[in-house]
Amino acid sequence: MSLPFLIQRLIFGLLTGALYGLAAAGLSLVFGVLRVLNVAHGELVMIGGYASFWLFARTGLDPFVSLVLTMPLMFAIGLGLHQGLFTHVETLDQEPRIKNSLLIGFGLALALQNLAIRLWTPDERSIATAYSGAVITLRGLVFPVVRLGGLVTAVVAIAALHLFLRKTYMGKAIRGTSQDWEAAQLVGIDIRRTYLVAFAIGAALAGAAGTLVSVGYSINPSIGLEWTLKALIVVVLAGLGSMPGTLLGGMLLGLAESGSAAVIGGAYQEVVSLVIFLLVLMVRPQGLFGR
Amino acid sequence: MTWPSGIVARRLGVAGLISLVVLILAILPKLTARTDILNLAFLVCLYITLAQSWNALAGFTGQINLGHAAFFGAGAFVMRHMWVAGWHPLVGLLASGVVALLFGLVIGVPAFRLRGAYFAIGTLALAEILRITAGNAFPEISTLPTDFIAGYTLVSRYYLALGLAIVTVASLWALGHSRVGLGMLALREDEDAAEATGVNTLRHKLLALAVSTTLAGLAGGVFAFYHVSYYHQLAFSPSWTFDALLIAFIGGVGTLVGPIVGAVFYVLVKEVLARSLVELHLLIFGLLFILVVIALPGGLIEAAARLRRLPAPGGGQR
Amino acid sequence: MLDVTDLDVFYGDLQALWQISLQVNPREVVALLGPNGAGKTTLLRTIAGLQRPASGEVTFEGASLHREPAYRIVALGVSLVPEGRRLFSGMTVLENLELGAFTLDARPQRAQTLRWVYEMFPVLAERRHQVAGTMSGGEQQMLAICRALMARPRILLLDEPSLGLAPLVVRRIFEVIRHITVDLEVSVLLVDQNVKAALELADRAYLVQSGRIVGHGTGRDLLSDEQVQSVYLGLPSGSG
Repeated sequence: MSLPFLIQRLIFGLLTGALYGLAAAGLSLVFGVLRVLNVAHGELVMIGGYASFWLFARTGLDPFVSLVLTMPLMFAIGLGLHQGLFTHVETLDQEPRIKNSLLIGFGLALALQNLAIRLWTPDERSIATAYSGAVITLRGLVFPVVRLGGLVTAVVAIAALHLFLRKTYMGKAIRGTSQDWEAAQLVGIDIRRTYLVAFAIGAALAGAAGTLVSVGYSINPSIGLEWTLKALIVVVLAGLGSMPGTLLGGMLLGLAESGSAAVIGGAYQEVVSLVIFLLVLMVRPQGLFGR
Repeated sequence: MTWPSGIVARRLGVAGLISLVVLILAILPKLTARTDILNLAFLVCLYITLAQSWNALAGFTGQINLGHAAFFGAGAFVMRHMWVAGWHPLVGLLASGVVALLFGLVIGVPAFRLRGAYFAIGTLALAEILRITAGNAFPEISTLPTDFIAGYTLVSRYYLALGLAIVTVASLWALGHSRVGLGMLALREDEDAAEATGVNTLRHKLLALAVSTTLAGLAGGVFAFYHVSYYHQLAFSPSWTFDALLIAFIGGVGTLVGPIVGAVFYVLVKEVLARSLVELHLLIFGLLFILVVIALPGGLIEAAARLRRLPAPGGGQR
Repeated sequence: MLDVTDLDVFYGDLQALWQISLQVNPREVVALLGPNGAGKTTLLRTIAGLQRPASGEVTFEGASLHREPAYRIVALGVSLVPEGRRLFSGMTVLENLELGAFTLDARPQRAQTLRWVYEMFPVLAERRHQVAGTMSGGEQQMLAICRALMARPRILLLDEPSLGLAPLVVRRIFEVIRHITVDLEVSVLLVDQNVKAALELADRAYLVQSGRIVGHGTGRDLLSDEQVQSVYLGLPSGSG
């Protein structure tokens, strides 16, 4: 295997990894703040992907532009899902809260996945824009335009989230709630509202990731589990609390996958990331809270 | 010691009911030759075993195993290969159980370093590793040789599944009435407290997992004996885990009757809806599952009990 | 100003507080004294809305608190500095203070309160970009009190502010409390193991035992009370 080939592979891995980071950012935020492990996060990615796909198919709206619509839509869906479902675990202690949220997420994942099959058939879909095949070539290395767009989008979205969490009152309230929900109440934060907003932001981020998946790759109703696992792996790798860290964790996972694919073949790249996941879990059996 | 006659009568009634149901199931192939009914009965038995095997761990110790499909798949894999290689199906089935048992013990020690939700996602990842590997290593469809198909009878599959379901339910009943079973229930309620009172939590969890994976492996073996052709990856599909979860939770997790009721309900609804649209039952069961988790932790069994209690308010019961 | 009337509080089936009644008047320092497990923390948490009473009432300046959620009670002018400080330990000193002024009424006064805090505690100004969890225990306690003050409360509930601190630091904390009441016109309801210092500081005090109020008086009277001396101050009582 030649060096340029390996570098090309790693570049693809990095571009895909940025998407993993974006998908994980929402899961990380929701888990960190609400202690809700939403295993239907991947299904939210899937739905975001379909939203952009249908906007493109019906109105020709550019997928990157459609983010302006799909993210608010997913934010609204997030509000609904939290109020309808996950709000029921808010009063539980941490351990049963995580466990019950996982179970609710599991039921939700099944329901959403099969609802999507019912509505949109099990077919594989992908957004084919005029520039879908376009590439930028630099010193013999190929950069597909849509995936570069995905990288930029992911970086911008995560930077925006980071600034929101650092600079705004609501963002600080979200961080404060994640550190000590009782103390948060004692300074006057309505933590139920914080939970709601954090969950909805998580859904909006998942939706954005879905848009990027539908344009750079492809979607079908069953991709949810895979994306949930990817996001979980990144969260375990990167820990909670830092969004730039999550983006880096995603890129690291992308690199690991593409690197291993180059060495032992693409069929096992998923296995590699899952093994990494299990190893990290074993080293940190107390869970994902190791900061 | 004398029991109040009411309890004796109730116990006799329960015993009579069980005997009757088993008897009817035992002579079912004599009562009807319709393969669709036998197929449904087979599936009910298979799903009872599957759901009860999952329930053996979740019901007794509270551990949510999201990698159950790995053991079902391993059992199916062993059975299929031994059977096609010429071993007697019962030997193959036994091997399915043994392999799943050993597999469960091997992964149990590291897996139980994880607690609660982390155990759940850890096992989920494990099963996915196995599924992908099985799909890569054995991509071709597994079809029975023609002479095997010539000797295929549905009735023998049915009896095997029925026998296994009975063994499964009986084992769980026995476990529930044993000292070890009590220790498991203690750690389900509060792991730290159980540990403090001298329950060896790891050993109890391992034992429950062993029972669970053995039964899952046997169920996988029956599956491999039943299907004429399938992709090896299918037996490792997470849907086996998900079906077990749905059935156990909707019926009533941690009860003996719950998964049985859940399995009947699941197979019947799936059958009815399959005529209209393929995956619709999973949409409905997904929503039902959420409902159970949020509002009805006891499942259908608890719901029935509540309904029964309703007509007599203030009757002194709870 | 703060009126607690016939409060009953349960933990599950266990009754923690029985028919508690007390008052705190404007600019008054009131101490709650009693052994561990007497229910003092429960009482403060109930006033702050973290615990729900089974019966009884809590009113503050005429507004009833006992049905309000905790975050609303802060906005009504009641701030609790909880036991163990409960800072946002991964956030900076400044961020902790900013979150202290989270309520809509407190936000416009944020800069002004912050200036007061920094003047009072120059160390917090110096360390405003330091992560709160890395400061010393005494500094963290100051920060916890200041975080509560950022909400511009009219009454401060202090739960064990001197717990685990060195004697010199404890003295400083009590000075600060006195200063706050004068400077910011804030009433204080104080729980502390340091009975002598608390009684010297307090205008009045209530004695709590097994979830009931068993005594009440001015700080000065209680200091010289024989029973208080024997039970709370560890001095030999006159009759023994």
